[in-house]
Amino acid sequence: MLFNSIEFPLFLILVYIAYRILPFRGQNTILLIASYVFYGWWDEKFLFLIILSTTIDYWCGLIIDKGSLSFKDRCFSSVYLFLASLIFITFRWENIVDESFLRNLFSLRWSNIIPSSLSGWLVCFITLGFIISANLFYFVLKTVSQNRKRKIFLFVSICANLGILGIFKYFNFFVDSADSIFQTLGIEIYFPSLNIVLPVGISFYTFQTMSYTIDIYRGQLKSTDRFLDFALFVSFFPQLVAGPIERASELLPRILKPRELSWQQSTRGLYLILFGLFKKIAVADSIAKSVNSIYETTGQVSWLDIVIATFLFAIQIYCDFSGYSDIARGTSKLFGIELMHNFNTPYFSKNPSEFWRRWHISLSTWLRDYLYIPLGGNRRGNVYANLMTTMVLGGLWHGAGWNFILWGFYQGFLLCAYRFLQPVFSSFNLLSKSWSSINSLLTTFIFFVFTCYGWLLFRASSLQQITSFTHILLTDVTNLSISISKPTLAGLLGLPLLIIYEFMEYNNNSPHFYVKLSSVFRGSLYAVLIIIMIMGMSNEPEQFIYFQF
Amino acid sequence: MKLTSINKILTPLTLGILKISGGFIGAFLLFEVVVNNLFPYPQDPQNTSPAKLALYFDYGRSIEGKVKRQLGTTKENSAPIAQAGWLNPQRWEKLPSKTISKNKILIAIYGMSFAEHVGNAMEEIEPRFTLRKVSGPAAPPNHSFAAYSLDRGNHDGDIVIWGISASSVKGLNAMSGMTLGAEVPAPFTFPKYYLQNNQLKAIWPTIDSFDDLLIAKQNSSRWQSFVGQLKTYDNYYNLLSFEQNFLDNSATFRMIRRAWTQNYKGQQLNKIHTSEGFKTQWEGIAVLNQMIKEFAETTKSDNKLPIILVINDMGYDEHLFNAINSTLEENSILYVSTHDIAPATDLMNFLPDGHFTKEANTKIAQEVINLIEQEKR
Repeated sequence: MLFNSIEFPLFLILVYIAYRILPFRGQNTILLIASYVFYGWWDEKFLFLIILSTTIDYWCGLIIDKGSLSFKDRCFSSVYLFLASLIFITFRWENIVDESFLRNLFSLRWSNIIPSSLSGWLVCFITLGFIISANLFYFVLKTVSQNRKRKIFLFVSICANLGILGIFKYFNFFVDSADSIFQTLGIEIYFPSLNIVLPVGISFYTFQTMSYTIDIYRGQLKSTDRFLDFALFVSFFPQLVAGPIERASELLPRILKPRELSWQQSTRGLYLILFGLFKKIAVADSIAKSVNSIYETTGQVSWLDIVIATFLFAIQIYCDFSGYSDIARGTSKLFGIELMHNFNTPYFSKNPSEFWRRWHISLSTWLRDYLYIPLGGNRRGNVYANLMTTMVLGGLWHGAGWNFILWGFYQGFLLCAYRFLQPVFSSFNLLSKSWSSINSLLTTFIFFVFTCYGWLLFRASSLQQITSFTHILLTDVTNLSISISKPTLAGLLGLPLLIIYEFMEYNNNSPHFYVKLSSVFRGSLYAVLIIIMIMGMSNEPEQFIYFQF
Repeated sequence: MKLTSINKILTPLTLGILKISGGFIGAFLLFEVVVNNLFPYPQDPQNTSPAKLALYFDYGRSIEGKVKRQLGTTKENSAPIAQAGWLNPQRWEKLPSKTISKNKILIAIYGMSFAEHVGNAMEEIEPRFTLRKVSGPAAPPNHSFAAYSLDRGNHDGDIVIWGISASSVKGLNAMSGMTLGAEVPAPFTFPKYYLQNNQLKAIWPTIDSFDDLLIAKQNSSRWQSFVGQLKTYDNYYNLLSFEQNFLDNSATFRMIRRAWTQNYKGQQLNKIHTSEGFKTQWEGIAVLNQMIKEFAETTKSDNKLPIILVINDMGYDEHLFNAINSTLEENSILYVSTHDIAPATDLMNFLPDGHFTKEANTKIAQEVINLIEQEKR
């Protein structure tokens, strides 16, 4: 389900009403059901993957922490996983779900959903086999020392999560890349490829669940024996498909204990939803067509076309992604659950290090804590190699494509270069101290230009496009002809408003700065945001860019 | 009561909420007043060039409201768009129907603006050509096929060209330019075709001429009977977008209705077309292929040369060509496809309004001329 779809407000209202009526345990159950409905709206089959990941990490977490699993823990989660395979994979819902489904709900032939062939039951049998093997494996490993057990089950958890990610996201990419390398070398080798669809948000929830077992292993978190609450932690719908990637140590305790909903939290939540929708619908979707008109054309483009399209893409990806994060945080606040701040006016950064403290904070801190520091960070090994490895893998996390790897490499290069030249930067000012604000503005602008080139690498549809656009940027500066499509009226009105808003947020150093405005002015601001958003609603809705990751 | 005493009665929270609500409602009211007074849509049906913002804020007016505004009391004082595209052979009597001299070649061309522009370019390149152009605004293939069928025998041109644009194919599920182009509706109507035992069958609209439309404007039961037909057969009809009501007066609601209409149309389009191409299981593709086959057969039986002009316009890549290619090849039907002359993926081939540039039209026209000359040899 998309946050900017017609179904979502209705869904949210229903879930909210149910949530407010029910007691604490019921609240968690309704949120879990809602999360599965939210995700299953795309394709219910992929819910099985989430439940598989949930079950494995639940077991691993308990064993790493306590060394054993109770019969109840094993039994309940095993049945849960088995039922998931039955309901989401084995049953053929597509045979009965069509436009007449609701009309004919009671006259349906339910036998149609049960597969008649043995092959239709394959996943169900494999799941059953997996559950039996896992239980047997558990009894074998039970006798192993706790220290070894902890390592083994951490390894199992990481392998399972990265395995799921690897198969669904990267398998075809690596196979295709190997295939083209061998073809270039004139060697004919048959590589099998998988005919699979990338499950929405897989990179987000696998990273989130991995943080759970790793934190337990590190002794920073206690495991939970409440399976359904843990399942909610993994699949909590506001942040399930595009983050923020929450740490178990932050989100899980909020799920495990009763919550109180304050007036401020609710109003702030509603405002975040409104502002997120404004960013997405009024700005990002309004300029998407202009960006696509340059990045998806096979024709000639000018220097100015590339510059404008890339600048607009920088705005688009920010509004698209931070808009999603805002809606996620706002929605979550309505249920009394705080999610982490994911963006902090990133385009006001003056250097790459600051940029990564402001952009996609939940991912950059995840990479820092679970990859960069274990690699040695600033203290062990070669810090530049550590930075580069982290950023290249961070680039790869975004998508299975060479342009993402290149983007990661570029970001790593910027960080390394900045680190290397930092002593020079700190002693060097473009202008004298009395001109510090102009100096600061210039530095911000120069770094923004570097950021934009990174977005060119990120957005490009092929390596050839990167080469040709870079070539035009460097050699065809005088070509100022324009063929880019104009943004819609919503974009033309929304973009300046957003820039002013962001500037004020940066200047006040607080996302809550608008609360200080007079009440009447705030009311008018909300109306203006809604009016521009309604204008933007006529644009063709674009899928959130980060869903593909 | 003085403001200070109100402040004493109300809690700060209630007061804050009231102030925010006041600002909120005030801004909306201001927006309504500003838009409706500064950017009013001209009421004169003959005014064909309203200001850009007036047009923008009027896109979401109900289809019924816009169509009724286009109609005056007579043909003369009605909007030109209301009179365009009707399938009325009498209207085509003024078009060239006979070859004036031996040197001249009469060509009949059916389609929409894309086809007409190519026709104009052909006349410019080759003065020997005289074109009989029958088209409608963004007319779908069912309109042009019906126009071709009605126009058979009305001219002695040797060559018949049928232009089909990818973006108009969706109109196979519609019965009028009202629902198809909801933002700027052209009220002309056309039949909806379906297949029965591999034979083309048509459902003809109950209003099929501009005069009928003028009468229906005064005759509620006639109008309702037509609307009933749209409800049943036109996939782009929906009550919220179509029906005129008091909400037409609100600028905000008009914008909401515009968004709703776009969304609805998008949903209908998603059922028949994806980024990969037209869905082959959609009946419209089979209908279109059958139309092409019948067009070629009947034209050949009239001793004329049939040519299909495949217009792959922006956003559709080669999708139309891919959807009809097998029929063209299997039945040896002559065609010119724009995808290898002016690819839809190259924006340089298009004007901001989505039509081909003059240069692209010239290139396409030249290809058509080459094909004709090759066949004449």
